[in-house]
Amino acid sequence: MTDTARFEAFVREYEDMVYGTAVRLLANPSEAEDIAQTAFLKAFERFDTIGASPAAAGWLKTVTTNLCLNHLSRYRSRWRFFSELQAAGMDDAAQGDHIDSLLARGSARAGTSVAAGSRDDALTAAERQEHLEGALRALPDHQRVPLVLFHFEDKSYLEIAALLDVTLAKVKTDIHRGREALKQALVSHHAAR
Amino acid sequence: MQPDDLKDFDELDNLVGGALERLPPPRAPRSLLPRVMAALEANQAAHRPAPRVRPWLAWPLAWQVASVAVVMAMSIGVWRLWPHTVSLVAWFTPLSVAEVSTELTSAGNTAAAVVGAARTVWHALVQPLVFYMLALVLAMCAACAAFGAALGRVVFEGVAQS
Repeated sequence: MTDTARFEAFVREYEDMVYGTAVRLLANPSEAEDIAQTAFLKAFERFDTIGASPAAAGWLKTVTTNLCLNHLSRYRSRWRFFSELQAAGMDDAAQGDHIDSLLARGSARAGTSVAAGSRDDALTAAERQEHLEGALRALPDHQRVPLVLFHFEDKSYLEIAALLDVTLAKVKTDIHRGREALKQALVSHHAAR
Repeated sequence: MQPDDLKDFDELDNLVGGALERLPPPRAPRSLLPRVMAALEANQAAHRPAPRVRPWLAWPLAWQVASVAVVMAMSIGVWRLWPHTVSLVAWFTPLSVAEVSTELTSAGNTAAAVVGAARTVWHALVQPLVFYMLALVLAMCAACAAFGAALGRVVFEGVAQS
């Protein structure tokens, strides 16, 4: 098998994991695809050492996470005032409404159509999961990123604080508020049944 | 933190954490693999070394001898055929020297007429308006600079406040 064929098999094996990490951190499918491409190109540069290594998955996740965090700090902060400055001024109750409106308007993020106030009694577990995925992506960056790092990347609060260069208290507060917002989304979705 | 707060905190953690952990991982789009392989191919093509061109002194001896022989043959051929070449050129261009100089003189007169016309247009139409056009361009540049400074202040003050 040639190097290119081996690398193609390598990409097929890890593309879901890499893309999933990126899209949950960035909440943007096209940016996540860009980051995933960059991560795999970096992997190709070290393919001789990590291609058959059992640590390949961990290495890819670390590289993808770092690329996403660099992307968020480099590009998003310049344009935050268009959207997140408005969201950051909200209290928790208003944020719940904000998330509901984003879900109703931006349902393309989760790939489903979520009608606010739907009375469909035939909700399935898949629909609940898609709704939760959409609610997660609708969270603002400063809540979603620590939440994803904690629940999906198995980082501790201290590690998250070091990665994001923020205080431990801020990490705890943001994660708590993110969970509150997701709980509101779960409850409101359940009530709409 | 009070025990009740801890209990609420744990319940929230269990509720949301459990729901998040049951989420299936997102699937990569079908376009990801082709674009990764295409980017890889483009990178490899960009880093491929350019074809090496060896200097003449590094050529094999046989090639050096052959190249010298070709150059000498071409030189001898040009030297032997030159008289025939001159007569061929004269046969295809029947104009005499006097006719050529007349053509050149009329071309020079035409060029001078064009330059004179351009000078007239400049003095009559363009020169009176140059000052006003320059002032308008300078005013537009100043307006763009002021707009850019104001936009930058709004952007960075907004980021700093957040």
